[in-house]
Amino acid sequence: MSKEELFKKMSDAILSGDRDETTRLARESLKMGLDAYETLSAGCVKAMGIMSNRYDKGETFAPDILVASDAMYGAIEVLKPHIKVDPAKIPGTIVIGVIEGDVHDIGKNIVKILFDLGGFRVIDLGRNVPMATFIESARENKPDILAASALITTTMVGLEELVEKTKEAGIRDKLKIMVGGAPLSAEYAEKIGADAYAPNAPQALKVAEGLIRAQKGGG
Amino acid sequence: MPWWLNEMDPVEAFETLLRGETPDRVINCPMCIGHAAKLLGYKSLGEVYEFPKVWMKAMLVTRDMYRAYPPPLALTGAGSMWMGAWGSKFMYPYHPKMGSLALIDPAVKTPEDVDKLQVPDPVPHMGGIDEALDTAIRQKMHPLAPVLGGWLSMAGYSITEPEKILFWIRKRPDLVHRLLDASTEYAIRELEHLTKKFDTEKWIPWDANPTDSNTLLDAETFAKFPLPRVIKMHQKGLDMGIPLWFTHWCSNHNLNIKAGYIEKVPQGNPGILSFGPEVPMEVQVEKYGNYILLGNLDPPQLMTRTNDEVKEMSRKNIEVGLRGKRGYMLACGCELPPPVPPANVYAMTSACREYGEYQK
Repeated sequence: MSKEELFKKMSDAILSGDRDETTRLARESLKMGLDAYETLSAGCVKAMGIMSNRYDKGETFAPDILVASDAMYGAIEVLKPHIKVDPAKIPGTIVIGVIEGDVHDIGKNIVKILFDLGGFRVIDLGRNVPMATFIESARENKPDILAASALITTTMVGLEELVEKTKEAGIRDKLKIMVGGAPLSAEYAEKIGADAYAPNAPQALKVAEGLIRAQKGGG
Repeated sequence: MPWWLNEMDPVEAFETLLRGETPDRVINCPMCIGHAAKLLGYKSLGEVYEFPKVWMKAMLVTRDMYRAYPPPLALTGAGSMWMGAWGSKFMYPYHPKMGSLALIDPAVKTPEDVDKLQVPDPVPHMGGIDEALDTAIRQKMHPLAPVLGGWLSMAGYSITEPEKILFWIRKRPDLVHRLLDASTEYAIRELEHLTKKFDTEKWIPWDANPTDSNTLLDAETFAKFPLPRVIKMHQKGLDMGIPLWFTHWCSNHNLNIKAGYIEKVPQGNPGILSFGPEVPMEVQVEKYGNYILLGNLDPPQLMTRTNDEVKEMSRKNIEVGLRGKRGYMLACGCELPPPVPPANVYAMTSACREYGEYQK
């Protein structure tokens, strides 16, 4: 099997959510002496890019993303120990979490998967994250982006508080804040002083990439 | 003469709509639960979710302060009824940041847990809802009883986790079918209990379905998994003598609307439908004008806009809503966010009074 054939099979297996097959193909790629990072980029990232575009267009839905990412992580588990990370290739660091009081994390988890695949260093704080934990993690990890979500109207007000807490902690101008979640809007994000809003997971990756580009002077 | 002596009580106006008659005006039905706890001065929403007496007081205050039909959704004790009964661990929203009940540890984590699952008897877990309904009926508040079986929103938030059930939809559909069947059976037992205990003319079963929306699911999956169970549950309720259901089609159901699935669910006569802000009032009136409709103010905007802006948004909604054939109530497109300024909820009432007169 050529490496192109393997990448194609890997991509197909991810799109059909076949974890056994992605795990087998990842091992096969190592036996063939392929570079683990290339397999990850050409097989896994490409497939999730396709999945992400389909999701953005309303052609695929949350269950498909979840099974595809499960299949992808099957391959990543095999490949990861063999990947040599070049720090210069990491676009940035993101601290992500669901705001305090909110346990709805499906959206955050999908966004996290896409950030991972976008090459970001992602620190996932989970759900129902206390304000102090966000701030502590931001101080410790010095992220480029602090990403927070709320899925219900009763907890979304916490996002405004988070923006305020970063000011109190003296780190507001050292990072960008992006927010998301079903009840939010760009208007609300602007009102609370966040830097960016994304209406869905694929857009979240694009928005994050845009923030990083802008930060680095790429426009 | 002061306006309050010259207009129908909001619950009276609501019951007028149910009879198929025309009340004096559109009523404000803000979907007020957590906000009511704030009106009472509580720092968290826990007491309203746990104690029927506090909940009742909150509903009465909402009715009287805003001249609104809250509606009185009897969620008290729902943690025990929805989650505890199955063996799931839950938490009432006592933390000031919490917005609703939270599932802490689900009963079902593995396929083997599904194999072991048995449908519990709901009755020992319904003390909170029984007391709330009993009190609200005596207060002539025409309460709503939450009955959520059949939806992924129930099985995926009470018995297992949403991510798990959505994953299994593709990988182990057999498990999802069994979970949905179990939750439907449970809900039917709830209905049997409620219809025996309370006069079916005095309360209305209510259900909602955020996890079943097209934000997460395609219409085909919706039709295959929750839809047949919900049809069964609603029909069973109607067969038991319940006159109508009140269903909140939470979040984005536009694909399910396009596929014609909403009208497949029996709602009784006339049935009450509300939708998320993703479904404009124009669409609702055009497609479902034969139901009682409510909506459809955007919840975040209620927090951020001025009361004049809220009144104007309300006017526009009322203008469209009044075109429905079976009546309309002005409402928030989901639960009213607790921090909404009271003046904005009052602006809704004020808009009803000013613009909500039905054409005679």
